[in-house]
Amino acid sequence: MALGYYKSVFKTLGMLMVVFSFSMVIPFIVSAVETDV
Amino acid sequence: MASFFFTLIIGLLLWVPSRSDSSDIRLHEGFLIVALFWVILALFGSIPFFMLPDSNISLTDAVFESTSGLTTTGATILTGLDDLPKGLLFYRSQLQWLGGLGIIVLAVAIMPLLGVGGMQLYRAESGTGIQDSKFTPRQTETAKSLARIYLALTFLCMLGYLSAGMSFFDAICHAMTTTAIGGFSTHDASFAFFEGMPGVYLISSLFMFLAGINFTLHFFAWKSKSLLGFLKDSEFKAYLLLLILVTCIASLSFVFNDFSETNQPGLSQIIFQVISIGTTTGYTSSGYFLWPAFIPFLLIVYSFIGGCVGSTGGGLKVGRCLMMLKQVFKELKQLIHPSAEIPVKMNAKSVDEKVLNSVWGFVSAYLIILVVFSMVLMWSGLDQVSSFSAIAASLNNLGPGLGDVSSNYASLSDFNKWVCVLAMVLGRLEIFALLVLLTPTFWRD
Repeated sequence: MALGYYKSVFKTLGMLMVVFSFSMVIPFIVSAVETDV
Repeated sequence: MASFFFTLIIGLLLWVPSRSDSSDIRLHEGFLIVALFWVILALFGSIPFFMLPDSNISLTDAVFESTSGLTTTGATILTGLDDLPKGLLFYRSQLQWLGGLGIIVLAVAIMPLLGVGGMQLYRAESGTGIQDSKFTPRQTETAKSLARIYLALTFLCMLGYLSAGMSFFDAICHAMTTTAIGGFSTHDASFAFFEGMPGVYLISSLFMFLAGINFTLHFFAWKSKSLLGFLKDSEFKAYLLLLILVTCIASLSFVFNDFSETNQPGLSQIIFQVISIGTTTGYTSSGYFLWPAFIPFLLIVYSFIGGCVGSTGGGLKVGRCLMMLKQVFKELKQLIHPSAEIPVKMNAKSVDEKVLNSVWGFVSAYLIILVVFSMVLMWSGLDQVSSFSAIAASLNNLGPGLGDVSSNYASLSDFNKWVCVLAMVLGRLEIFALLVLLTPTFWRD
């Protein structure tokens, strides 16, 4: 019940975490490029 | 990549079941989202540090570094930055850049609606404050406009650094941390590494200065193709005046302290250092900590004022300090004319009593936290200078302090690091946005 009340909080935070997780890929690419060079 | 999948899966688990929810976010949820944004992302953001092979970074250190990045504090526990993998250095800069983006959206689009620390004055559609011109009414549109300006400033800063002689990697990393007023560098020596490149100091000073201005002023300047908005804004004028004043005081200090001429920094270096600490960025130039002891202390005190409201800077903010100063003068006038109605004005408009009370409440809470947290560090055995400056630098989202924490926080105990982490989050969330969650009334309502 209480969790349902905060649905919009979960939605926003979940969305932010998904976006944030993709930002973690860029440093991985930078590392890969550095290793190749 | 494990950190990516882990964060992605948890994010999807939260988002997918509630994605159909289309209800508006209310005040209650607004506070929760704002607080959890930094707390949760800082925790998940620490995974890449924690999982770095052959580094022995503890969980405490990883959370400290991640929180310092996302809150754009710039305090670090890492040493040997020059030898770290480029991917990790990029990740640190990116954390600050994302944190800076979040702060602008928070400060301009969300905080005024929550009314934290007198921020309702800056409510875009209120007509009582600075933004009484036609700002995009919808909050999402506001956020998008600000993000575009932030991106443009970062790109221009990167071009500036490249033209001044930085390598492409250094230019992109430093452009991100400059625009975010973060202060993470890719070198242990921070900006002392670029000592032979005067252009780098010039570009950095310019963009730190620009990032310390209220982003809605940039927005209006861009829309109207005019700089008049800056000159009409009392907070901007105070911000500029303070930078000039502190630079003059710092320069004169070298004269009165008989500082060795061989170590005497140039004016551009003094300006750079004043802007860096004053805006709460936290880059340091060569020999800064060897300057007369008065200057680092002056700048730490100056960092309490910080940048403008609606910028990526930390501290109390120039606008609030200006309101308090005007309130002091009002009280003095009131003593002479007890029955007179003397308003406190910002941009030629009277400030509501409620806003002034909010500002005073915010400043009181800020100072109480500073004193209590500093005493906690002293109680744990840290000396007075390091304790005070560590908390001041964390609460103001500045980064470098004095004494043991002048360049690095690695020597602090785990307990002290967690206290600093809490101070960083409190400072970034304008204190009340986090404290309100700890009140029973919030959960009862």
